[in-house]
Amino acid sequence: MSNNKNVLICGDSFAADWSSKYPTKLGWPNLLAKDFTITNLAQAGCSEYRIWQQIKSAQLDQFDYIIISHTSPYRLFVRNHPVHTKDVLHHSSDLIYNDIKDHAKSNQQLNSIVDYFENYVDLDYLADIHYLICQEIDQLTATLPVLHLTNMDWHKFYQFDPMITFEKFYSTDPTAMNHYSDRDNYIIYEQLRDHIVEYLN
Amino acid sequence: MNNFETTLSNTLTNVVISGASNTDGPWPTWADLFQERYSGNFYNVSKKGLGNEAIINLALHQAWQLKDQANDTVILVMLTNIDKWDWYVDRPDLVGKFAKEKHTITKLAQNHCGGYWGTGRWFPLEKQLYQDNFYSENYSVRHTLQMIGLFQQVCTANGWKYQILFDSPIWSTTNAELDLGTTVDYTSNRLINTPENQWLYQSLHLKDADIYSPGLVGFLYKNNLPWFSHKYGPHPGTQSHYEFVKEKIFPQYDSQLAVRQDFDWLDTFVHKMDQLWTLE
Repeated sequence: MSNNKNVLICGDSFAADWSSKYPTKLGWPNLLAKDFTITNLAQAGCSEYRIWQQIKSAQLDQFDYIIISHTSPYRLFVRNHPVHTKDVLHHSSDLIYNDIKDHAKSNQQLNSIVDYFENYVDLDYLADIHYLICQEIDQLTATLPVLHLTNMDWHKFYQFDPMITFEKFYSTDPTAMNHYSDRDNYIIYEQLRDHIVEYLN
Repeated sequence: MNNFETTLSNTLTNVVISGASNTDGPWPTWADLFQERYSGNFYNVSKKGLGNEAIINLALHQAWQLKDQANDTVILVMLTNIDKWDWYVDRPDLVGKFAKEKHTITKLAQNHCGGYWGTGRWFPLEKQLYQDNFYSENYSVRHTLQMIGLFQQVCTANGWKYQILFDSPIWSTTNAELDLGTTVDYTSNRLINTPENQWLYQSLHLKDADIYSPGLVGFLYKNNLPWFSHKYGPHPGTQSHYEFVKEKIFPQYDSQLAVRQDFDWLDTFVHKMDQLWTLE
């Protein structure tokens, strides 16, 4: 392996470094860090808009390979999250409907956000904005070695190439690193490592 | 016996709803869609993780609190698989201990010293010891049959209209089998077709009762509708719940309760909720 090869990771919690919250556990980004020099800009709970900002903030030509984990169109960007601002892992989270709905049970101030999601948010509009952002991301990385990832059914959204879905690997354990079991993290790590090595060679 | 042979009055009806995670879900379930469809005084005492004893006792206790009101009362309970069982706990040290667990104690009323520790298919702490060494499938089936008998008796004695629903074919399959996400046995009734329990099932005359035995999950499986996901297991999304209520619940109540939201509104609401939840 080549520790002098630089790999950029962008995305949401499926790609973020969870060791800030679970220092003894290893997700696939941590496993990749044994083989490459990793710059991980991924943020847990973030929207596709933040992922775009992550990519724009990086000197992309400094990296030998780029991995981007894309997310749902229905996360709403906010500068200051009403719940998670002080969380060590989710401090850059954006508004996610099921998350806000759950916290609204004990915090009535969040009901206005739930109301906005349920009665005012237009899903077609959000899907269109998501498409435009994905298009921008695709253009920024078009000439670079990049692999796109997702954890959801992506067939209705912007088609990246190449793209891998890890939809079937999801773990419901809240402490599962990157939402994957230890075994699945290792499987994903091996698959991504092989992609990178194949490209670099 | 069809419990709805008598037309409900035109005054606002008290509707008590009780169930487990397929009733108290993070996304709109059949219970939420029922409350959107109709006008009424709704009392939803559902909670994820509950077993059938807690589901039924919570419903009956809530209905009893309304007994002095002039309004009609109807109770809908959605029972769950028999391999999800409750423990009643009232030792103060245990109540305090379990209050810190993922599933906490569910009391019938705040002034009760104890409550049900319903943990679904999760068997933490002392429950693991019981599950490994003492759990009996036959006893658990019998317990649910007894609870149904109790429920029917109390409702009838108090003049409460009621409906018993299943979240899955609870007489044919366990939650452990549903968790595999492969097939759904909705016809065998193997869990009640045992010497230990067939006599009780027959003596309760449940075969004649108006209970849709495939339940929510069985209905979806029969009709090739989504009932399982890798992320949420045998907990179908809002669209699936909607298909179920449109066929199995709404037709019975549309002539009995005042309709508040029409199907156009519900179609839009369900589609939106299904999209917001499915992709997260």
